[in-house]
Amino acid sequence: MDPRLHRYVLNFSDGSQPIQVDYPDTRVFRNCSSYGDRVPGLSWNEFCIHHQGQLEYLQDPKQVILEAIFDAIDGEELYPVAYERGRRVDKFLARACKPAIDKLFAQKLCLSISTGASIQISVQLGVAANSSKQISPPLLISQEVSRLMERLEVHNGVRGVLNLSNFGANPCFKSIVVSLANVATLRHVCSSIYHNDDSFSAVNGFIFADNQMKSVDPLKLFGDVEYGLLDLSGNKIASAVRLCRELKRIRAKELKLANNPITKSSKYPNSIKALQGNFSMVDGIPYDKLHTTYTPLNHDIDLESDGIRIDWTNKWKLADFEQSEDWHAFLVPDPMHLMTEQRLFRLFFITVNQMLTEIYPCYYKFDGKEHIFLARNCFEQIAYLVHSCNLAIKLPDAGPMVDPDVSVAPRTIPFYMRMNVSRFKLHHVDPQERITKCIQKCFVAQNRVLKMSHFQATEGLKGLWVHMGSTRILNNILSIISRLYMSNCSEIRLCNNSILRIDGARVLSRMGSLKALDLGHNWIHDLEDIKSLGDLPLKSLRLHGNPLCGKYSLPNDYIQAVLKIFPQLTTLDGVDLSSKPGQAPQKNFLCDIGAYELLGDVFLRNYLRDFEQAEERANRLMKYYTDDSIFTMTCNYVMGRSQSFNAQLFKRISKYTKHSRDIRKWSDYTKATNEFHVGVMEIIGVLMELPSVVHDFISLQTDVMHFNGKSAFIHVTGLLRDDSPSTHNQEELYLAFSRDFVLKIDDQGKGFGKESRRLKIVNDHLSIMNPSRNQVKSAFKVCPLPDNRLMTPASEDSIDAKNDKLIIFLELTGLTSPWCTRIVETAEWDFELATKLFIDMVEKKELPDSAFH
Amino acid sequence: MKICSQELKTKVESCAHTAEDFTRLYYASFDNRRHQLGRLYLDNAVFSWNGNGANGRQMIERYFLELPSSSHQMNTLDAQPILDAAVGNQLTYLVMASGTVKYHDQPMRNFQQSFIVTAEDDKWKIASDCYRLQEVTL
Repeated sequence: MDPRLHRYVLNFSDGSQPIQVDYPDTRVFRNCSSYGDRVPGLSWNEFCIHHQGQLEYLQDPKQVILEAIFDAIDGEELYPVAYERGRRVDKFLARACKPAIDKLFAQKLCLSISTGASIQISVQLGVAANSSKQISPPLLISQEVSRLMERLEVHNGVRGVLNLSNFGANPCFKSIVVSLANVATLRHVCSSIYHNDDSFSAVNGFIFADNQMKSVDPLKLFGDVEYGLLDLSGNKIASAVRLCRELKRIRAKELKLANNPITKSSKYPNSIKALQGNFSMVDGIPYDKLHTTYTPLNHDIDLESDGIRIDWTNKWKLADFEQSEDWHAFLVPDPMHLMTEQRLFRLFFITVNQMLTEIYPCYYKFDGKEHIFLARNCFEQIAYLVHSCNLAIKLPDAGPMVDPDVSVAPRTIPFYMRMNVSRFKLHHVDPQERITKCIQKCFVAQNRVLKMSHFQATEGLKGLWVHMGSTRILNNILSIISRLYMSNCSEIRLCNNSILRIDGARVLSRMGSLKALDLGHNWIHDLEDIKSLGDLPLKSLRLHGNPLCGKYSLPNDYIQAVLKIFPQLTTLDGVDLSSKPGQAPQKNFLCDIGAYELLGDVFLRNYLRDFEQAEERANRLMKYYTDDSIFTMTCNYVMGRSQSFNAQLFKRISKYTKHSRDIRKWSDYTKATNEFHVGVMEIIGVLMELPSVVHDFISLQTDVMHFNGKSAFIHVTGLLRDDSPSTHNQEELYLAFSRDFVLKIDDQGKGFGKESRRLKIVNDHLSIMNPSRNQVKSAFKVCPLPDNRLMTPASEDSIDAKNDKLIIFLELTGLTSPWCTRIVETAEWDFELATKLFIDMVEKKELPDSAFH
Repeated sequence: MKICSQELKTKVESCAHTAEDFTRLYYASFDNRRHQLGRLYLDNAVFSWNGNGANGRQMIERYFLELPSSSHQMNTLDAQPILDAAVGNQLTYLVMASGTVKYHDQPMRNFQQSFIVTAEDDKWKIASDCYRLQEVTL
């Protein structure tokens, strides 16, 4: 049939001149390797792809065909125009593409499709004449690039980002095929960017995401300049070797590679190590930490097809895997995501048999429906879980420990397994080796302390769950410790590790210089559970924060019980036992946790702050008193004891003695109403006569002796500095003070809100005394914070959260716990503030040596 | 006190009186008859010794038995009646004492003590007792 019968006109209605396809040359090349004497000139050529409909089952046959074409022409220019999908044949026009045509002929006009099929092409040369006003893909691309360069974007704080993601989908390319999968097209784009003199200097990053790219070679053009971002995510980059070569000279703060085949390879991220100097981050992770986020569950293993599923229907099959050293996957369906990772493992380890092999769950992840983790070399344990536990994780009996949301769920959580999902590869997690490395990281050689508190949070343990609540796992860890630090470790800190019991005394007894053990904040329920440690020559032990401590109502009972097992202890929970046990002063006493906020901005701190300026007292203190409030004061400042007894001092003290009462000095009780002040006006009058003062808030010791939501009784004692302006040229006068407040809490003030007005003072007593030498020595050692920082609202931390903060701060700073408490309380439990404060103090050398451990 | 009803005046006087009698008895018991000290506390009294708390008469008694022998010298004493409706008709006083104390083999130190005492069956009993030695907890 004469193809001339099919002549047609292509009008793109975009202002370009139409292409008149009239087939002047009727020769169709097909299944041959040469076009003989024909010369592909400047005219349009027609390409037909004879797929015969065999690609229709694919999601995007056009994309597959184009990919095959770009593979075949291997980086030569080809811009298909008017691509038309047909049932049996796809066709398009292209011109100025002789090298591409040559390569197609070199392959006998045959395309190898990625699915394995091969498809024939036919080419008809010079089907339409070309004129300069016709559609020109390279020109359209250049124009679009310049347009985008005038619209640079900001991405994640990086300015000047040129966004070329899914470039080919641009509506202005509707009549042509633009695919950066073709290296020639990418090269053309890059060179258009590079030669745009006006805008190129403003470009600080590139997004080439979702462009089907396999090679990024043309990016070389942008080498030797440090950019903010290079986003190559969602492409088809598969070869790490090629990528490293192509990006050798490219530098950027961040490289994005997510959703490329390369990141799914088992060699990734080691395979791109060569680029370490070029990019500081890859996909949001610092380059040097890339390897720690690796998990075979994301890269190597396909849980749909890999391994053999074991569930209750085929439990008998498990025996086949007894000798296997491969990874096995545990899959715990949880479509509502009711459990956290932590809770899952907590329950899991209640279920496992403590007497059998240790099990170390690795590579935990939640995929939206199931909790998944891997384990290996623990067949005994798996057999127990499959046969004895019937493939179900036990839930403990409903008790206070069980979350309400889980207690309504069934009493067990079923799971299934996939055995042999992956062989063990060299870079996979080896628990024994990992744990050993992490323990070594925890050792501080200078002071011979092994700091393993909250061991699970150790950086190197990512992807490995080490459950120290399991006795065998803990024993394994203790034997690694004793092997590593036979004679050079004097203290082991194991606090916050969910430890239930220790019977590893034998391994620890090999450690000749071990003197101190910190087991604080674990789950030890009874001293029996650590009895075996009694054989160790420990001098110091920390058990604070374990359930066992709650068994003793008096400190001394607890101390005696511990001493029975550890008779050689000299320090327990940081308290020197040679001093009076149970009588070590505690900074604060709270009869009821609910009263905690009374001590902060709700009352005490605000009141004392409002009290400081004498001339402001009328304004600020009025709100605290009623017409029935009572105020008295006692001054017992003995002048003779002060080193600087003089007239000035006498004058200053007399301000306090003026209103002082002392029942003992009266001859009879008719004087009982002297200096007995009732009612807000009278009280304010007296308070205003007292000098201005500055409280050392850090020195405060508070006892909340009574609190029932309606009334409270607070005793506070501490140090203040007499601060009347008229005495500023005189020596500092420090006074010890104590204050008793009986408070009435308005009925409406349930939970108090933050309104101090809802609190009224019923009784108020102020007492002034000589400060002790110690008090003066440490007076105002912590600089007061500026007012605005002090006013930050008190945080709503639970006592537990506070405890955690204290511990973290303790570990962070190395301070002794009283100093820690001081600083964290000053910062009102704002961790960041506390840290700043600490750094400030270190810089200003305000911390004595004794403040550190 | 300027404005003062006769009723209040009487209350304040008897409060001072009670405070003096009570503390005399208290420190004598503390120093010389420690085992009888518990009788001065209500069954549900709250006690804090330098921030170490004990709840209930029984615990308080046991705590006292562990303290070293002592010798208190009271220097000042003040007291206020608590007039709030919360205590109702129950006669309740706030008593503040301070002075010096020497515990066995420890140096002499200042102490302060604040009690809330209340009348129970014609006897004065301690509802809450806050004891502080003057020293910094450092």
